[in-house]
Formats: sequence, structure tokens, C-alpha cells
Amino acid sequence: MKRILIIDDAATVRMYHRSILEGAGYQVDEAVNGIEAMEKSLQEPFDLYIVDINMPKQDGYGFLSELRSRDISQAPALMVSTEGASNDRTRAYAAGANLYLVKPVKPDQLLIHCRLLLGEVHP
Amino acid sequence: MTPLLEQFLSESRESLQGIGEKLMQLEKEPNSSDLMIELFRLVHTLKGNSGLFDMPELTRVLHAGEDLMDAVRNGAVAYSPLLADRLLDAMDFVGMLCDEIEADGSIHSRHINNSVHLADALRQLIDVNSAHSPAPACIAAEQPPASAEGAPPTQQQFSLDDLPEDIRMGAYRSAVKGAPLHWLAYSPDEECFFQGDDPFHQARQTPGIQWGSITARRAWPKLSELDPYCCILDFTVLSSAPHDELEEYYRYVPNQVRIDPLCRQLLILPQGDPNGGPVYEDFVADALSLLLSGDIAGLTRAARSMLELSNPDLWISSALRWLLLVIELEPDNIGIQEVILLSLRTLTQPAWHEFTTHGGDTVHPVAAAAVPCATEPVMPEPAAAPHGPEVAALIAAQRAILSLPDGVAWLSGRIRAAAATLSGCLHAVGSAAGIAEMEASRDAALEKGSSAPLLSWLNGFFEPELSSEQTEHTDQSDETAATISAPQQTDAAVKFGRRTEDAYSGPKSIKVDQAKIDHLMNLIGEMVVAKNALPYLAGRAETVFGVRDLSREIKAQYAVINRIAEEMQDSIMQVRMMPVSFVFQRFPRLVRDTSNKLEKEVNLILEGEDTEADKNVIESLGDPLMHIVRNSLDHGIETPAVRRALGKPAAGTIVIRATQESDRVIIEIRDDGKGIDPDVIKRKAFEKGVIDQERLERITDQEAVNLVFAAGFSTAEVVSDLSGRGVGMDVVRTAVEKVNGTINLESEKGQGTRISLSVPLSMAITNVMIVESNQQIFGIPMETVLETVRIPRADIHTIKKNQTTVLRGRIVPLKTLNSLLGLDVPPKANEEDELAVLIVNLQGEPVGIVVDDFRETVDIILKPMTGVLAGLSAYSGSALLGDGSVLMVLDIKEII
Repeated sequence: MKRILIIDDAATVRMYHRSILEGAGYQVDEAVNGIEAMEKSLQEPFDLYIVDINMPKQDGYGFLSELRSRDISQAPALMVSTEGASNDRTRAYAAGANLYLVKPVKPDQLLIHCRLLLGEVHP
Repeated sequence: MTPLLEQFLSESRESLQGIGEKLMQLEKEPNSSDLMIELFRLVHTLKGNSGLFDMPELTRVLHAGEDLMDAVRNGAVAYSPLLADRLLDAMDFVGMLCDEIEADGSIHSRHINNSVHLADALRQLIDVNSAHSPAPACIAAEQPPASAEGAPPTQQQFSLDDLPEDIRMGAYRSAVKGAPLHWLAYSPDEECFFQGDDPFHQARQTPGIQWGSITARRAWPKLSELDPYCCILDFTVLSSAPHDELEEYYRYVPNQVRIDPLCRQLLILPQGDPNGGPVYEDFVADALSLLLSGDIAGLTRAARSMLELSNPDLWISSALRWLLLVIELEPDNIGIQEVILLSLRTLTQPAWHEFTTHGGDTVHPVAAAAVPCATEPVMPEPAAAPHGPEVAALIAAQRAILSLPDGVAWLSGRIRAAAATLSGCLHAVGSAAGIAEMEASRDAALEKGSSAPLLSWLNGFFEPELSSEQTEHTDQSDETAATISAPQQTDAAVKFGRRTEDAYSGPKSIKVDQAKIDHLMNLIGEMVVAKNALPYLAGRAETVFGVRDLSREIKAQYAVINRIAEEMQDSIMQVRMMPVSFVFQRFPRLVRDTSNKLEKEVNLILEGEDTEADKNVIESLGDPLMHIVRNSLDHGIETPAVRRALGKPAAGTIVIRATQESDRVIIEIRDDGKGIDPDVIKRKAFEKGVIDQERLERITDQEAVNLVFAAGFSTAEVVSDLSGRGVGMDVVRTAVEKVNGTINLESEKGQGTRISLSVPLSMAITNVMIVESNQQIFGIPMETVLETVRIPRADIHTIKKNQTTVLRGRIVPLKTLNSLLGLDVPPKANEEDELAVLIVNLQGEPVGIVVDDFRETVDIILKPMTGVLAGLSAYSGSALLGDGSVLMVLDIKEII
């Protein structure tokens, strides 16, 4: 079973994403900031990361660049954030994200992208 | 209500509280960027969450709040008390909506106006403060002239022709620098005002707005027939924001908005009088030859001198200005310059559409790439498009990622992650054959330390040939990759080995419904009662059945059960404990708002916020404390002018301090205001009939100030907006006494007032003394009992029909419990003719209660009287005893 880590400080958003992904049969874990996400990744890297940008302690950019530069996981990362400035996308890519989606992500959109990023055949 | 909504509400409340606290702190340190960042994050999270639900009223306000805090965080808007006020108002509104969602499951549409109003109030602060406000929207009152041919949005009422030249030039400049360009037509629904939209504001705040206009959809009806609630306006906006940002911004009205990408060339629309000047055929020919020979400087000179010679209002001048602008911005884009020059010959608009078809595929890749966007906004990789927009977007994203500069520490990570993503895409679209080649490029990229090889593979992938020579190389490199990554993982595992257990430990705290804890509390209460039956059973085993050994064993077992039950009870009590900060946290806001209203300066100091007590106790303290603090603010603290005149600091101080003393929590509210004048109190009390003449003469100052707690006493001469609401301090006293608390007030005239509340840590277990009266037993709470004495009948005297006795030199009034309960039976005395008297504390005065006999004291779970019995005010509740009988607990204050 593919393992997905949701990193977001908003419990509501985590619950929302989790319910969508678990409904589709993925194994989901959560982290509230980059530091917790890093600890969980060190345990066992995930197959996909869904990362929020704005979080206390360590934000999404910081987490991803650390994840990539310490070579902890090179699994695809999907960065999700509320619109914000247009340079968020570029910053997300520069930090190590592989796709940037604007919150709120509709359930079918989230699933399509997760399946693509995980290399699963398009339904 | 769905669990997601529940989660949303609970998280929103936390965020709202956090926002309130942070704003209070920011008031003290207005320059703290940490606080601003944190504040932004809280509002941002709240708004992000609200986006998951369809709650436009909520989202609108939060969005405005987020934008405002973003501006504050970036330094574009300075923090001000007004800003705090508005943000607090907005958050109060959000809190109110949350309550409504919780109660009704949805938001009532009547909140639309407030929502729009609050959002506007927040946005105003951004607009007023930001230095570079967007270009003002031009409001065109008249019908636009017929649009020029060639402009694509011909179905719009406004065409590009209507844009002033300088605005078009500005947009062109930014477009050349890479900003997108969109022509947006927003036709709000006629009923939009009833859906909570604010179309003017919506259009006005369009991201990246360069220009905007408003037109009426149809001719305005006569004033008498005009329906002001019907929106017949159309908005047209030129924006330099990306398409998805606009889409996101208009996401609540997607059907009412049309967003068209705009080619920047289409902005080049020379305007002016076409007949005012000659057509310089020579000039056009010369300029064309200069252009084709690449003499940019010559062309510029020629155009400048021509422009100087021409009347600036002429069409030709306008075209020349555009030519110069294009030369300045895009000197290499000869195609555009050529078209402008050619248009000079005919004095007609540049033929951009022709340019698209004929000129596009010739020599100018820039123009060719730019023009298709006028008709269809396609992804840059047409080959990927057949597999769906998601794949196309993913591939575009990877292309963007790989095109980024290489110089980052995590380059290899970036390459591998992009490769993993691409591999996912290839799998998903069934092009697994390409994976090997892609992985080879990935390895080449990793070896070279540059994204280029993978990027060129990506760009070339949809070429039909598939070079197979690299396939074997791939397997090998996969192996090396595996061997490289393995030791690194072990390293990491060793290095962070200690954290391993932590990560598995899961969440540190859980949220539990209060009803569950209450149920647990009731169960442990029953358990305590049930265990109390054991000593009774042991007694029976010995006395009735004569089995002394069994009796001893039951007692031993009882000790064990007793210990466990007590620990369990203690643990459950701990769960119910919460810090007093729960009630304290509202005071900073209360004091701030109230003191502003009263134009007083007040410093609030909170101490001992982490002192804990039972949830019920803490909750019951909220209102009394609020009342006391309001009183202090309203009647205690003087205005700054008065304070200065008295030689006090202009700002008054209110201290609220909580401390724990054995099994009670003491809360002290102290102010340095004007204090209470005992003489005024005495006079008032006498006037209002609270005390009689006799008492007035004897009363001490200390006793006098405590008269403010007497029922029906209120000193406020004028009923003020704040505290003089007809309820006085007696309400405070009653509320405190309800949780078995006591209240005490000390005041020194001119120096201030100190009120201290003493409440039990927990109300769950009550210690009562059992007394006997007329063969019935009753419980009396131990905190009211001062002492128990036996008084010889001879020492009881009757003074003015009242029985009294003298106890240690003090006269104590006596009441018999029988008569208080309406039993016409005299109290029983013991063999020595002594009466059992329970001395209780009644509002600070000792009173003796004559009972038949004293029994033991027990810990009970006091259950309040419910239903019809709740009207029996003589009892504060009932409890079960160990033998299963019911004990009625008396409320002494009520029966005397």
C-alpha cells in the first residue's frame, strides 16, 4: 500500500485530505510541521508528500529542501497552499516540490494528481 | 454535522482565540514581526480551512483579514489600534458565525451585509495604506464607441480601443517583462446582491488590475422604475495576473466571468486624428530599410524626429510612440516593428491577425509564440495534452523545475524527485517504454550535476525515435543508485535513533467530549458510594452473623478497593482540571475595550494563570469575575486627569491573581482606584433599608464595605452602560456561593479595592457532617461548620424571644433545626441535659443550630435536586450513603 504523508498545520485540512486519500485506499500519516514530518520521514520515507507552505517552526519550503538535500526521500512532493503570491509556485518548485496546487483542492483533483505522481494508471 | 465540520469549528475557535491573544500582545509590542507573522499564519489557516466549505460570508471576511495581515507582515501597512479594532470585530463576527454553524449547521443569509461591511472595513485599511494602489478604474458613463476591427473580444462592450494609451503602454511594458495579460469580463448575476456578492468591490480588487470599466447592461430604466437591488452592471478589467489567480479570485462566480488571455501586440492600437497630417511615404520606406538592415539606432532617430514634427494628437504620432516603445522594449522583435511601420502607410490599425498567420511562421519565434495565446491558452507542450490536462500540467511543472538554476544543495534530490514524478506520469499514461530512457537521462544529469540532460530528454521525449543504446546502462546505474542510498539511510537511522520511539508515540493529547468525562465522574461517584457499603457489610458480618474473621477480611479488602477508588477519583478529577487562564484570557480584551470606551488608561496584570481547578468551578467564575472587573473599571479606576490631580500615575492598574491554598483556589482582583467610601455605603444602605438605624451606629468600616454584597444594593448614582445594569454585587456573591465559594472585599478610600474569591478546587466531592434531628439524618456541608459544642440547657438564655447562649464571651443566637424544618418537636438532650449545638458560619456571623445529635462526617457526591424537587430551596442536594439510604444535604443559608 502506498504511503502518503500530509504535512499541514491546519487540522481541518489534514482531516479533509486524509479522508479523501484513505477513501481511495492509501495509507496516510500526518505531520503538523516540517520538523515532525522530517522525523516521520526518517522512520520510513513516504511514497508521496503533500505539503502546506505556511506552518510554524518549519515551513513547507524548508522541509522540502531539507528532505531533498539530506537525501531522505526523493519521492514526489505535492505542494498545496491557498493562492497567495504568484511567486509561491516558483519558490515551491525551487525548494523541491513537483507540483503546486491551490487550496482547496477538489477531491477528484487531489486523487488524479496523487495517482499520477505515484505512477498509478489513470482510472 | 460531519466530523470535518466539527473539526473545522473546533480548530476555528482555537485560531480565533489565538488571534485575539496575539493582537493583545501586538498592542504591547507593535513592532514585533514574529507576532505579525504568527497572526498572519493564524488568519491564513482559518481562511484556508473555511475554503473547504461553502461559506462565502465567512471566507470573505477571513480573506480580507488575511490580505490585511499579509500587508502588515510585509510592512506595507502599519499596525494601528484601529486595525486591531477592525480585525477583532471581524473575528468576533467569525466566532458568531461559527456558533451559528454549530447550532444550525449553516449560516443564515442575513449576515451577508455584515460580512461585506466587515471585509470592506478591513480592505480599506489596505487601500489607504498601500503606496502603490492599483490603477484607478475609469467609470465610463456613456456607451462605448464601436470597437475597432481586429480586436478579439468583440463581444465585449468595451474594446481595447477604449483604454487610454498610457495604460495600454504600461500593460505592454509589464507584458514584455513576462507578466501575463488577461482581458476579463465580469457580468454579475442580476440577483447577485442577494447572493452576498459585492460586484464593484470584487472587480475593483481584481488581482493585477491595470484598468477597469463599468457599463450598464441595458439602458437605465426611469428612476421611478429602477430596482436598486437588481444589478445590471457589466465590468471589464485588464489584468496582469496569471489565469489561475484570476480564476481563484473569481471562484465563487465562475459562470459570470470570462477570462481571455490577451496578446500584448493587440495593445498596440494607435489612436488619433487620421486626417490631420500627410502620409510620409518616404519615411515609411526609409524606416523599413533601416529596420531590415538592423540599424536600430537609425530607426530610433528617424522615428523621434518624425514624432517631433508631428502634432501629438495625430494618429501617426500615436503609432510612432508605440514604435519607439517596442524598439525600447523589444529591439530584436523586428516583426512587430515592421507591422507598425506598415500600418503607417495605410493609417489603419496594425494587422495583428494577418501577422499571426503570415508573419508568424517566418523568422520571429517570439511573435509566433506569443500570438497563439490570443485564440487558445494552450500548454506549451502540445504532445502531452492528449493525456489530459493533469499530465500536461505535471510535465510543465517538471519542465519548470528542471529549468531552474542548478546551484542548490539539493540538486540531486530535485533531479531524482522530478524523475520519479515523470516516471509516475509515464506509467499513468501507459508510456512505460520511455522510462528507461528517462532514467538514463536522470543518471546522466546526476553525474553531470546539472538538470540539463533530463530537461533535454523531457523536451525531446515526444520525438518518435527511442534510442535503445542506453538501456543496459540504466540497469547498472540503478544498482549504483541503490548502493549509494542504502548507507545513507542507515546513517540517518543511527543518527536519529533516539527519536525513533518518539515518532511512534502518536499524539500527546486527545480531545474528549465533556459528556464522557461527566459520565465517568458519575460512575466514580457511584463507585465511591458502593465501596462505602463494605464497612457496613463488615459490621453486619460481625454483629448479625457473628463471623469476625470474615468481617476482618472484608475490611482488608475494603482498604484495597478504597485506595484504588480514591486514586481513580483523583485521576478523573485531574482530567477535569483546567487552568484559570480559561477565564482570564477574556480580560485583556474586556479591559482594553472598556477602558477605551470610558477614556481611561488601565494596565491589566494577570498572575497565576496556570493555577488549576475543576472545570465547573472555573466556568462558574467567568461571570462574577467579569462583573468585578467591570466594576473596577467603571467605578474604581479614575480618569487620567483625576488620577494626575491626585498624584497617582495616569494609568490605573488592575491585578488579577490566582493562587492555590490547600484545596482551594484564591482569586484576587485588586485595583488602585478610588476605593470605596464606607460612609457613603453606610448612608446608602440605610437609605435603601438594607440596614436599620441600630446597625448603622454600630457597623464597622470593614463590615460597611461588605454591604455592597447585600441584596438590592447598588451605589451607582447613574446607571452606566457598563456595570450599572441593575444587578449588583449580590449577584456576584450568589454566583460564588453557588460553587461553595466565599467572597471578601477590602477597600481603602482613595487607595483602591481588593476583592478575593475563594473557591474549592473541585465541587465533585463534598465533605458533610451528618446530624440527627427527630430521628432523621441530614447533611450539613463542612465548610459552613465552625465547631460542634454541647451546651447545658441552663446556659441557654432567651433575649427578646430569641434563644441565645454565650460562647467564649460572645453572644451566639441559637435556632433549633426542628423548628427551622417546621417540626413541632423539642430538641433532645443527652443524659447530662446538654444540647448538641452546631456552630455554623452565616455570612461571617456565628449561629448555633440545635440538633438532636452529631454523627460522623462523610465524603459524598452531592447531586443537585432536579425536577419538581429543584424548588425545595432548603436542600442543596442529596447523596447516597454506603448503606443505600439517601442523605438530604441542607442549605443552611436558605433555612435560617
